[in-house]
Amino acid sequence: MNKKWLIHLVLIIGAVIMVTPFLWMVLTSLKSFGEAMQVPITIFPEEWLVENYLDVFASIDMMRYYFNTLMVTLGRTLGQLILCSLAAFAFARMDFPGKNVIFIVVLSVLMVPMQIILIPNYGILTSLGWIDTFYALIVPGMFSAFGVFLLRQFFLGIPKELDEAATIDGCSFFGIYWRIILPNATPGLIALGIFTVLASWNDFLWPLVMTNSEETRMLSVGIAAFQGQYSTDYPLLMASAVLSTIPMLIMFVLLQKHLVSGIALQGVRR
Amino acid sequence: MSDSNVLMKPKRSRRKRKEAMWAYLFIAPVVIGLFLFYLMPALASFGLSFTSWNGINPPEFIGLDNLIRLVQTDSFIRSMVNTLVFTLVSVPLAVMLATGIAILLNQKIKGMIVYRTLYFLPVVTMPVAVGMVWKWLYNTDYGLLNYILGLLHLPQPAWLFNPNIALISVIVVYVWMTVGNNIILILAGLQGISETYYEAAEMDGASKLKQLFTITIPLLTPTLFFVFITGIISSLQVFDLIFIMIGDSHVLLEPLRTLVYGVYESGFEYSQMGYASAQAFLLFLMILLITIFQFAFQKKWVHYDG
Amino acid sequence: MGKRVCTIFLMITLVGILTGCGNDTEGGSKKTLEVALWDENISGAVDASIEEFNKEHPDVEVNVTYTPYANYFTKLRTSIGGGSGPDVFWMNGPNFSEYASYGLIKDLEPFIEEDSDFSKDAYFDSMIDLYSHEDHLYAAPYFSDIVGLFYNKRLFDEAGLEYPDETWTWEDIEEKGDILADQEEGVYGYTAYVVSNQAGYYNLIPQAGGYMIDEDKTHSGFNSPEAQEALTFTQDLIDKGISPSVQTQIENHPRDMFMSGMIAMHPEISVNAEMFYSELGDELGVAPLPAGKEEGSIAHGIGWAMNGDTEQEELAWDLIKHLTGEKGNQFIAESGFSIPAQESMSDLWVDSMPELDLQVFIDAQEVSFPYPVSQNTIQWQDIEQAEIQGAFLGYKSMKEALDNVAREMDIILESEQINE
Repeated sequence: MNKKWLIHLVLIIGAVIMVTPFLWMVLTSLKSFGEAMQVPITIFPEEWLVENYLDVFASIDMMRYYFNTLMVTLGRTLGQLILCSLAAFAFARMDFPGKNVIFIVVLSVLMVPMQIILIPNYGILTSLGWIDTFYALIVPGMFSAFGVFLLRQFFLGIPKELDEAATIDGCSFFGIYWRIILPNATPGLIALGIFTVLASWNDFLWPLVMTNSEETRMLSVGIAAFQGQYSTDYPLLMASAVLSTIPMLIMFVLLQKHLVSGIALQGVRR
Repeated sequence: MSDSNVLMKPKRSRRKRKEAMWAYLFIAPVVIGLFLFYLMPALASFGLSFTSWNGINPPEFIGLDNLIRLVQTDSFIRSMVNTLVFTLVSVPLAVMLATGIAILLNQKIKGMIVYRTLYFLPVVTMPVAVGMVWKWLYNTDYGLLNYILGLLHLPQPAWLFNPNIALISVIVVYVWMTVGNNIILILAGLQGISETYYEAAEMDGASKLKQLFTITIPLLTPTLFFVFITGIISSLQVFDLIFIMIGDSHVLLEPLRTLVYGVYESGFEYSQMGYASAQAFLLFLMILLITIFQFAFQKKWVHYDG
Repeated sequence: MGKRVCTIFLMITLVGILTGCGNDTEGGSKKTLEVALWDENISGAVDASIEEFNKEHPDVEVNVTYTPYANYFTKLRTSIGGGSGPDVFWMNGPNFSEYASYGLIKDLEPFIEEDSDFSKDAYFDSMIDLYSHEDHLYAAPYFSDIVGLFYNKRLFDEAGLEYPDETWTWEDIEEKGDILADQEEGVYGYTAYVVSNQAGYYNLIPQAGGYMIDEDKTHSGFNSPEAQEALTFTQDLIDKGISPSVQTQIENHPRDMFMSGMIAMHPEISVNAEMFYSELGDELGVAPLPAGKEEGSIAHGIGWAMNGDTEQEELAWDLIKHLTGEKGNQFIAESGFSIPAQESMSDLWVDSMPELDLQVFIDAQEVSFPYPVSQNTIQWQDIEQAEIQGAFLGYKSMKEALDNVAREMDIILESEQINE
């Protein structure tokens, strides 16, 4: 019993460390600039300045940034879940000439630093006429070596007996993928989904280079623009940081359920 | 299947051909996409690293001049050392912490969902925002961290301004930021471990601690392997965080300069695309060597299948 | 089973089509001009000029894109390097020579010769000099920014001091600054600016009789006794607690501190006048920057440049003329943003905030120092800031830092000579 208390103690200390910067962000976002720059520090704002948030909305087109970011995130995530799981299945379960070579080639992409491909890609997207469109933001992000590798690792962990049995039952490859592998790899798919959503939502360098106009501007670029304007006005900066985080927070609360059901699904083994 | 009485050999090869066809179909979209948007540009950049390209005039072949210039540049050597230190400290730290927390979270304790949500908070925060918040926490005069240290009568360092601790300060932020990422992966891995193993061990009378080392950790190694591989690769490429925390003051840059920052600086601030490509190429080489090393050693510690 | 495969590929295509919406209709017959700049605060004046332009060219669509300054030149460079980029865009001093010498921006001289509407004489000399490359104008001056001494009247009243005026010397700044500084309240007397070189030591060095870069652009002046003197004075003000330290300046921008009443006197470029005024209102005052051995302050400004590869140079030139012509200058002046580059329009700007003595900025134009530039300004400025700020943070002595700057800068300048 007291062992449980020890676990709780450790977890609580950790949780405090994880959460404090976040709380401080919210608290600062509600202070005036003068109060933020006060010694000694005040923990809670003397006056709760909700106006700071209105100031952010007044300075930048937040709603448009939200919409753009949402579209890009959805497009990339759906694309990756479908395309990467198909490829991962082939690499984990199927036999074909050149498999190892192709897999190593795919893996090598994982190691390509983002910065190295930026300039040539700008040329490619220009020649496709995609610069400053949602194509540029979404399509290249639908292919992920990371996703293939992650799902392959998960698929390898699924007992082979399951699909061998299915093969004997006369199931096709796509059938095995669809009926055996995918249902058994839900945690992996959820993990890839979370990573892709987060990576897309937080992506910075790519949208910065590939888009110019307000019509295609993503949240991260918009927030950075805001920071360029208010270099050290911490309350306003923190307000913009909170605003950029809230949608992910909501998504996360929703996803918690999926995670839990994923666990439950694993528990009930057939 | 209707063709059950066909001879064995042709059937097998036909099935093999069919399998290969389906496999190519499955991998085609990803492979084409990766080739077009990742591999081809990477190869183009590789070629550029032997040129003096400035983004405007046609690239001029200058052989190994860029590499020779690099190894003679102090700031490049420093960026190399910083990158290695950053990775070798932050990744093992983040993985160890994440494994511990994930194992604790995986126990059937009350409030597990609450804890998990809290630990994931930094993961859902945009790196741009993380950089801004920590820069503010680290503020020497008005930051929360130094305020707390002051209350405890401890020294209040200039976190980002003292060249001796600046890198450590950023490593702390990076660990804080990535530990939740690792927890997601490791938790998913833990959940993949069948209860039956523990039930069997329980019947054999194995202690919880023994179960941890004989069941949990070994069965977790494929996941840990994955976490290490991807963790190291992304830590070698860390950029956003350092970029935001430096802001526009170049004086903070030197102790925090990493390889990727050098690529960005040479390529995008000074328009020396060739020189930048050479740095990117060395970074790529470093990532490649470390990854090959890890794969070579995976048989020593990674277990597939129960 | 094939049906499922079809469904999946259909979904992929759908995602592509749905999310890739927009921008497909661009291929219409309407001509477009792309315009890029970084400061959204000026959008009113820019839009007004474009409206004027559109009255003459109703068939031309002008798209304006604002990119944050921190990424502006990176982006511009990438897009022009990639063979595209905006047709008409903002240029500043540090980047100008590089763009002009690589032919990334068009020589405007042929347009000026054929166009009687545009006369270089109408603009401040400092601006024409700044945007001339080998005596050819490559960017049309838009507005000027020059340094003045802003102050907080409330803090002066509380200390019972007279406001600064044109008679003030640097000794006055030090003396009065010391009285105004109040450590317990967290109030500073003066900003000995280091995080901004333009509003800080770039004025002090020429005032001491020195230079940052010589006229031939072959030698650095940072290892001169004059530069040493200027930075020692800066250091003194910080050591005495009159000015926030460099660390504080980096962590909490003096501009923000001034706006929240934490600094009594703050040297700053004129572009910030309107922002300061809207934040501090009647508490804000402005005086000329004190003089040293020499009188004057550093002049800089923004110009409109044309993409070297633009396909519509006539239209682009016409737009530039609308932006930088009399009407365009009038819009700038009335918005209060900064001093219009045409000398004759400056009074309009002075009138835009009648409560402030903006005339000090116009007078400052008479005795301005040129902004130091060479082909790779950005490169040596990064070294300069890192070294000098490093010295202030105690990483090394000021002498060592200045020697480093001069050495590195000379190397860069030498390589520029070879490239030419």
